[in-house]
Amino acid sequence: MMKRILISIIIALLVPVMLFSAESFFILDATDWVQGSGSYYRYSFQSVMKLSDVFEQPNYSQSDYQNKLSSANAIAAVGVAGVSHNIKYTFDTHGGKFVSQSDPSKYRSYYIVASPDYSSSNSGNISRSYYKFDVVNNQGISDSTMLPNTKNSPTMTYVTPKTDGTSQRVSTSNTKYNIYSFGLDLFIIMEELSNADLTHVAENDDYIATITISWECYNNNCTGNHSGSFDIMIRGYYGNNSGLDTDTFFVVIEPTSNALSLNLKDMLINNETKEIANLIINTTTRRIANDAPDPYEWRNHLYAFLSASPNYNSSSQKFLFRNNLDPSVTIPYTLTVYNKSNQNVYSTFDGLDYFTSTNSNSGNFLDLKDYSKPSTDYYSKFTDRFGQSYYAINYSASVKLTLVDKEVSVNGTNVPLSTILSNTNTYSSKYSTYVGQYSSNIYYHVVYVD
Amino acid sequence: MKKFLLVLITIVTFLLPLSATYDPYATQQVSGFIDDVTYLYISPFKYENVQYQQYYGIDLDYSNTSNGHRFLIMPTDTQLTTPGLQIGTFKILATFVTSRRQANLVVTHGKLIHTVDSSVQLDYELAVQYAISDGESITRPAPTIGLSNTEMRISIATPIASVLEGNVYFRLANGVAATVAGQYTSSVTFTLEVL
Repeated sequence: MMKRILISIIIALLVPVMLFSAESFFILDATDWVQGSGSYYRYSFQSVMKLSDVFEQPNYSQSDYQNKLSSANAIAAVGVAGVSHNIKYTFDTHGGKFVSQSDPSKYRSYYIVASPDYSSSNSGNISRSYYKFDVVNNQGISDSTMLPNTKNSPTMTYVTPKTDGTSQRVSTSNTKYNIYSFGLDLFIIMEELSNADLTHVAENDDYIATITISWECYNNNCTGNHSGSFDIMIRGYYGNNSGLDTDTFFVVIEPTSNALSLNLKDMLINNETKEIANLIINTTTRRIANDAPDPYEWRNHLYAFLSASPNYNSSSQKFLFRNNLDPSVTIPYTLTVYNKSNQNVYSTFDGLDYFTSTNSNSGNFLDLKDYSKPSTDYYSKFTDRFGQSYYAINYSASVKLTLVDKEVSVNGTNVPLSTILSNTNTYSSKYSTYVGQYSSNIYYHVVYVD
Repeated sequence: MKKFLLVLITIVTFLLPLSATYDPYATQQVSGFIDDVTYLYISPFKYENVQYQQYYGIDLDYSNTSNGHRFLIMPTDTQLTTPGLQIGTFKILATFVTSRRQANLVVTHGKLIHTVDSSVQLDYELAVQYAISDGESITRPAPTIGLSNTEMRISIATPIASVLEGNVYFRLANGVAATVAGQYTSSVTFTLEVL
């Protein structure tokens, strides 16, 4: 037997015109590089790129300005200082595409370049000329050589010299400079869109690119912990709307495969919880001003929580699944934000939370403050050559859903819903009211306060 | 007896306050089921950035360099490979926990027909792309693309299937250009077959 549902959609198609407009966005300058004692420094400028912008492939013969390397396409800098080992960095762009989350057939290709820098002083004094000599292979590089890049391969590696003063840069005039720190400024390169490219770029504001940076010791018998990795996530938009109030932070939800098909009956009867999403909150590494005495600390400005209301400052309803045929039939649930790797619970929400004030005790907020936590939940921190520290939030956590086994009145007696669902013959009438599909909206708030 | 429901999802517009406090929140929809259910959701897009005699729609004149959609709707050199302009979304939840049945999604469409002169008709490609979940993993098949008056059939043959991010695309067929000004309409039919 075959049943059919016919749904007709009338799509009206007309003839006028659309407009584009330019829009600037904020990003810090990657040339404020790092220095100091210690080992690895990392910081990031996750932000929002306008995907109609063009940044051409740079080479050693031109200046930053000529190469169009600036705050507009700087995304991060990584480096090492005071370490008696060579460090191998690996950069993976995962295909080198900004991909639309809502429409994965739409993408904008890009690649990254790494601009090498070094310091010949253990007190800082970062050189800003391009590093034109390959200290690892001890050979010269011609002006026309392109900066290290991922144009032809989505993955590239770069080995830094030892940064304990035992490595030297030898200039073309044979002058030698001891190396005490070494860094790679990373830039996004987006070549001009061809007509063919434009067949797969749509006016969406939810493009995402992820770059994984990992590092390890390059020497044999290396001692010490010289390995690690982190992801840089960058949003992109094409068209005249960035879709955001700000380009200094954003929140991304990655739903799990079962988030739209939860077997509520089994969950209630078996007291199961289900992971439904991965939550990501990213910020740029921001400062108040060049000469500001204190760093800009996101901890005092962002308040993140989950709610059943789209309004950040009020919520009067708990999280509820509503039956799509009869919205009065509901099943409550709670959401727990946790660390999937170690199962540590960060916070549990029932839908009623909202932002009241900047007092951190005024609400049930996610803890974005503890930058001593491991990589799944941390602030990345760097210290510039003036001794100032800056922070960026790279928050990633899992979200799991737990149903509340509510009491249901059956002939004047309260019975747990799980009992009704597991005894269909005994409670057939009440059971039938709960059969069907349920849906609910979850709002992930990240309130910013100046 | 099977129950079927069609729900049109409202496109929500987010308005945010212009103040020192703002909240670029993200929304996630979750859904679940009790017993066997079969649902199909269709959400057509409404392009409101062009208007003609009180009607909104898509600018079909891809020769106009001011048309922001022109590269997405113009015929491509390699036909039937690249989905074009997104014109809607769809979602399916089909659970066959007890009955172990199967379902098919069948999509058909006619030509674009001029509302004043019905002899003016334009053939176009309709593409459907989606990710399908069986509750454990997600697969994302290549887009299915069909010309006018052809049938696109998608098998949904898992015990629990939810189609995530199902998208519908429009692109004019090879050699087709809209040369007669006016309004055009077309019907797209989604049929969810439960076998």
